[in-house]
Amino acid sequence: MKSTLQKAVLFIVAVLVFGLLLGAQASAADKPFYQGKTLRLIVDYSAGGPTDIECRIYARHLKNHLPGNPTIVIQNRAGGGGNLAMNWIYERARRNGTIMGCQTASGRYTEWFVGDPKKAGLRANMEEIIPVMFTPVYSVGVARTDLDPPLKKPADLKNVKSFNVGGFRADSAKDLKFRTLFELAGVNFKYVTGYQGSADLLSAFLRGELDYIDGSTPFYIPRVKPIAVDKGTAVPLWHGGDQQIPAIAPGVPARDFVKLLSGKEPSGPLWQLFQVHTSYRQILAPPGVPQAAVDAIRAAFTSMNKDPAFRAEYEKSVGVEPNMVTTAKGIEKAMVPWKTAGDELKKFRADYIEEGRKLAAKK
Amino acid sequence: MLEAAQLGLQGILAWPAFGYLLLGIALGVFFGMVPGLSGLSGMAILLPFTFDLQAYEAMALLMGMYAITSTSDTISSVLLGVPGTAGSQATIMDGYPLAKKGEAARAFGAAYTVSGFGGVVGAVLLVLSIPILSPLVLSFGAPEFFLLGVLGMAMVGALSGNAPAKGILVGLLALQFSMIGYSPQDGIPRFWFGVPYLLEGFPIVPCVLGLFSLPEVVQLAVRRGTLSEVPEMGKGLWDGVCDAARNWWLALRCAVIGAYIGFIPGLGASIVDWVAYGHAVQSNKDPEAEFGKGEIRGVIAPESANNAMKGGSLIPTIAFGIPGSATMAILLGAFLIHGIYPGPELLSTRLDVTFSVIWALVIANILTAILLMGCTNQLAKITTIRGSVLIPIILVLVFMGSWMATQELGDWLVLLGLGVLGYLMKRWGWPRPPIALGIVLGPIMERYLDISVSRYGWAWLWERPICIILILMTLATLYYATRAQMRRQQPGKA
Repeated sequence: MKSTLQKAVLFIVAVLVFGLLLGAQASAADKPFYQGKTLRLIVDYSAGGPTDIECRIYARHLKNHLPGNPTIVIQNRAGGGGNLAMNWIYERARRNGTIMGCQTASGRYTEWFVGDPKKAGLRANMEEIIPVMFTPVYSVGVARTDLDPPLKKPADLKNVKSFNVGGFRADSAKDLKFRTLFELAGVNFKYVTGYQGSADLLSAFLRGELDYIDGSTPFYIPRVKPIAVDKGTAVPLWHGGDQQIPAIAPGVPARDFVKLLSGKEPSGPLWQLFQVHTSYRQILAPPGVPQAAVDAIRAAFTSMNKDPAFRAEYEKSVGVEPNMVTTAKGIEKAMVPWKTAGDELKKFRADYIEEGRKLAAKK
Repeated sequence: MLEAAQLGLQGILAWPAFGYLLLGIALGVFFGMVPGLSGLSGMAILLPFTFDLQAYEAMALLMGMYAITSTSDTISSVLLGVPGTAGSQATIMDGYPLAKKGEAARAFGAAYTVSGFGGVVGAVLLVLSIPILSPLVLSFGAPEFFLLGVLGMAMVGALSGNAPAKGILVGLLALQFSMIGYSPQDGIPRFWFGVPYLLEGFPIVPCVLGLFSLPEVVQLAVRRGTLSEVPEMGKGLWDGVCDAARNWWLALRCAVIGAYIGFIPGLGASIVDWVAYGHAVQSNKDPEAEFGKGEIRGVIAPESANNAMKGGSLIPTIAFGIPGSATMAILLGAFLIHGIYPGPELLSTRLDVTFSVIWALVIANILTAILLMGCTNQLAKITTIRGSVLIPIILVLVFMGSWMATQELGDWLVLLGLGVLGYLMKRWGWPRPPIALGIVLGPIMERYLDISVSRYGWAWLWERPICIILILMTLATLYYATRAQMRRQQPGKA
């Protein structure tokens, strides 16, 4: 009798434990991935730059769209032209979804697919890094108006006698982009490089050492436009993307700029090289991160992209509407120029950089 | 300009910026009075904590701290006979003897009054220079920047020590170190030995903390205990204030000298107090004055100059983005982090930020003078804390500050490596400032030399008037420094 009672008690306890376990499992499944966690976003440039500014806007709003309301922390790991942060994410970041990159890593992709990653110090395998979100970064090119003859609109550049163009470094995306673009457009220019950053370029531009400057919209809208364009001392020539951006008129999309000056549709390796240097702000995860984390972040960015408060702050700081690509298919499409570049373009790029070094060293 | 001044004042007085200014002042008092720390260490340690602040708040915190370390450093100079920072070395000459005579309070009264006064004069001179800075900035191109760097290196090399040859040699070696990493024009990595940490060169914060802070900490440890030998503070704080008022003309002259020295890249804190002290001695007409034995004018001159220097030192940083000292190099980093770019913008569209910096200087100097007048007795007790208690606190701050640079183990290796180097150099009498400045100025000089040659060929060397003036100034600096050393070696001719 006693034994039957014991068995009954044991059975009831077992049922209760089983029930509790099932309940716990069910509640774990229901619990949002980021609940009670801290998400660290690793920024590949120093605090205060365009990448950092944009990532901090993301961090402020992402919390409201990420179920579980995690704490979001921005951490800057500047250095090595962005390689330091990417290597760290690939080699040392925890792969549990709590660490992701918020970066302008287009240069790393270009280096991996079209360059020499080993020589550049890039150890991260960019084919293994998980692209979570891409949003295009639009560049704007601007020229001084006091040229000979004076410049009033992009087409006037054809007749300009002397045109000094400045950049960061012979192998930088900035230099390669404007060199390819001006060559395609048939513009005769003197190439000067080695400036420290956008602020340095802007100073050289304002004092007339350079006749041309370009930068992304978060640089152009608050810093170049009010001090030069609005005062009539400079005029926008071209901008990134395929659609006309009214705030940058009379500047036209890069493709139209080439057509306007050369009368030809851009094509060939120079145009291909221009395109592989298209810039994106990206959210990137180390390989092996749970798919649930990637899905949660993608869903949060999709939702944030529609949030009026986020859109207003983004447009104010970045100067254009947010255009986030969060689907695997969309990201794959953005990566096509890198993945289809091939060895021929790789060699062309290496030779072109070398040619740039010689041009810059020419007195 | 008036509108920008008003906007800058509003920005600094608004909460929480004003709170950060007060916090900066409190930290500045601590960094200034503890030997081994300084405005430079303070700047390096605080910089990472400003990342999440707004621009005004960050400027309030950093400037509040930086502006007044040369006020509070008087406490250890007078009570311990050890300079709280490099800018108060000359204060010891008469401040410490005054304290031994029981007149420490009088020395403090005079020092705080002229420190506040000097700080305000420095800020006013900065404001007055703004209208001429804008055209001046636009007349400086890549060749002028390169030669300004050369002049800065020549000055700091030739003047920061007794032997110009040693200073220049150290500076040249530092320029070599600065070439580690990507070359500015070609983008080819140099001397990086496959270590990505080295690709961007040595970060300045661990370098500065290693070179300057670690050796001081070691010295503090070696000295074992920092108990002041001064028996009591004495009375006469008000007498000191009256002394300052009586010597207002000397204080004003020294403030102008201080601001001017601050303006010239490479000079700054290490010599400003000595130049002002020398001026006080040379211009003295009182036969009863005994400099070196407790003469109050020996306190007034350096204390007025070292605070005024800070306003002057901001000019090349704000206007040209060329830091004249390691501290200014870190402040330049702070500007960039907060999206503030030195050059034409800070003198036009962001003039309000420049004014917020100036207002922070003025307010911090005045508030600190009043604050220290009221509570020097209590603060002076910090100088009686044993080194064994202070050292761990300083070390934590130093290691934390270094780690914030790139958060790589390399930061600590650089800190320790340069700490050993700094200690040995200090011990053997080799000047350390040229290393810090070489690391900061090296890439700037290399970059602008490349750009100058690429854009203008070599004609800028003889075709551009400002270049010719800068070359002549560099040659004159080297000539006079060498001549002064030769005279020192031949006492008969001195």
